[in-house]
Amino acid sequence: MVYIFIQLTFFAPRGVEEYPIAEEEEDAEPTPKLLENWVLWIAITIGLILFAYTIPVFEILQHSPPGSPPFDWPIGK
Amino acid sequence: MAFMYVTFTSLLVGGLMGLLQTFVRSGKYTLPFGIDYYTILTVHGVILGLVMTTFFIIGFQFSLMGKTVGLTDKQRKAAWWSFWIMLAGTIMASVMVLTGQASVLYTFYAPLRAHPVFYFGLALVIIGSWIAVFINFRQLYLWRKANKGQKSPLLAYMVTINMIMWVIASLGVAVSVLVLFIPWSLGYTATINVLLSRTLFWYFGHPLVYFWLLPAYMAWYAIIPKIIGGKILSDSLARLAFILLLLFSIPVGFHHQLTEPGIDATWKFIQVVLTFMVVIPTLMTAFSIFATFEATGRKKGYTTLFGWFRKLPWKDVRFLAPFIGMVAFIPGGAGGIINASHQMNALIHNTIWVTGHFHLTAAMTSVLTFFGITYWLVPHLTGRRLTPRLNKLGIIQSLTWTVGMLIMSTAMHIQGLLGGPRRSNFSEYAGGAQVDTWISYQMAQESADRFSSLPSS
Repeated sequence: MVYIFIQLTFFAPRGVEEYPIAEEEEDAEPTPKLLENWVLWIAITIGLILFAYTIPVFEILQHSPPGSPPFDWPIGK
Repeated sequence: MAFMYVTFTSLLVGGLMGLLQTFVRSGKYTLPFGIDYYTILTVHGVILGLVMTTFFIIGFQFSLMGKTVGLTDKQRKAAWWSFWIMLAGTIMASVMVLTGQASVLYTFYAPLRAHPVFYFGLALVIIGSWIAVFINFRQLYLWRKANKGQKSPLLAYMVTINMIMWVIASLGVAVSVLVLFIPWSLGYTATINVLLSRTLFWYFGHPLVYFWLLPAYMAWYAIIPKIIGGKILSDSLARLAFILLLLFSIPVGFHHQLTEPGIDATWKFIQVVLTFMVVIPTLMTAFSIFATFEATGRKKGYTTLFGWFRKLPWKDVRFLAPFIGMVAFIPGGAGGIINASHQMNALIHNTIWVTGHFHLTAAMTSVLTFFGITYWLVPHLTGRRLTPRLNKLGIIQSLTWTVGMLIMSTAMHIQGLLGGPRRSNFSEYAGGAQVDTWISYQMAQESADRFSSLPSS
């Protein structure tokens, strides 16, 4: 792979390689505007994260045992 | 316009390949010289899992954005900043890993301590990637302002989703590194909350694996159809799949911590349910890809039941490599469902099964697709052509890679079911009888490893 990469970067013959970006089907249904409502989707994402993490993280902080000093052995620094 | 950042992306991909080489050599040749196993393991994980993928993805996404919504000179300058900051961070972390000052594996679990420079390096990589994130957002924003009321180009939309996910997710690891690890490794704080650090890591760690996967999906949805001479099956379906992947990528980290004490089982269960939601966009993708294949073939006039399948461009490496990646994702995805199930996880947790799983998904699905992209992206950027000879070589490369990975990953899966551990160096575990059953699989992995290191060089 590295060999092919070097070939493609420095030695392959000059020319134009296509940048293949596909188009939509002509008779496709129009894409709903809703899908591009960034505020809505980001809000739902954050909402789900808060739902799934707030309480457990709070519990982890509340009930945590004493913290650990660093270990450099058997592996580490 | 796109020609102008030839250098930028090719540099990224160049860096990526060089690093790949480093891994191959360090994995096989440096070990005898007394370098610690865990150092090598960390190098392998960090370089391939974090550096190669992230650099490739950000470079590829810049090129996608440049092609679809444009890149101004100012943005290009900022993009270079992001590149250099990420590179500086990478070098800092790599030097520490290579000198044995940070043999903490790529998950850098506390209470293993690495040299502070390692953590600073990680922080820089993340900061550099955030610059890229905001450039991508800005690119789309400017395009939307100039094209009011139009829907944004599909690929730009996908990049934006991936970057939203990345920025939200990496907040977790940034907090963990800046607030917990750096003061602790410098000695300012005496102790660290291990569970909290691991929770923050997996808050980031799961979306990280989707961050590797989504660029592969971008190629499957919007680039492969062009290569096989077809059209995108459904623009809305692709967008909806990406939204679902965004929603269900982050609130799921506990499924990596199912055996972790200190987290309430109810919350583990809730996150497992959220994890399984990802099945929906994944199956949508599978459906859509094969529907594209069939629709394209039928339009070309193949009427028999599977004629459209036989006539796919098998001899075109730009298609073949990603296709193998798609196929690998079938067992890869199924394995993922096993991993995330609470009960079955108890069997395979911390065994080498998991390593087998992510070699199928990351090293086959994502990386083979990335290779398939490289075959046209690099010559496009350098103004050269993928010659028939190089195409053939690429096919050989993809196939050897596949065979090697299949043997290795299968052996890992079986050995894991027999209880073979992941991560740890060779040990006889005081001569336990179970250990003997692992050995043959270990050897199969080793030979397969040699086999698949061949196509990478």
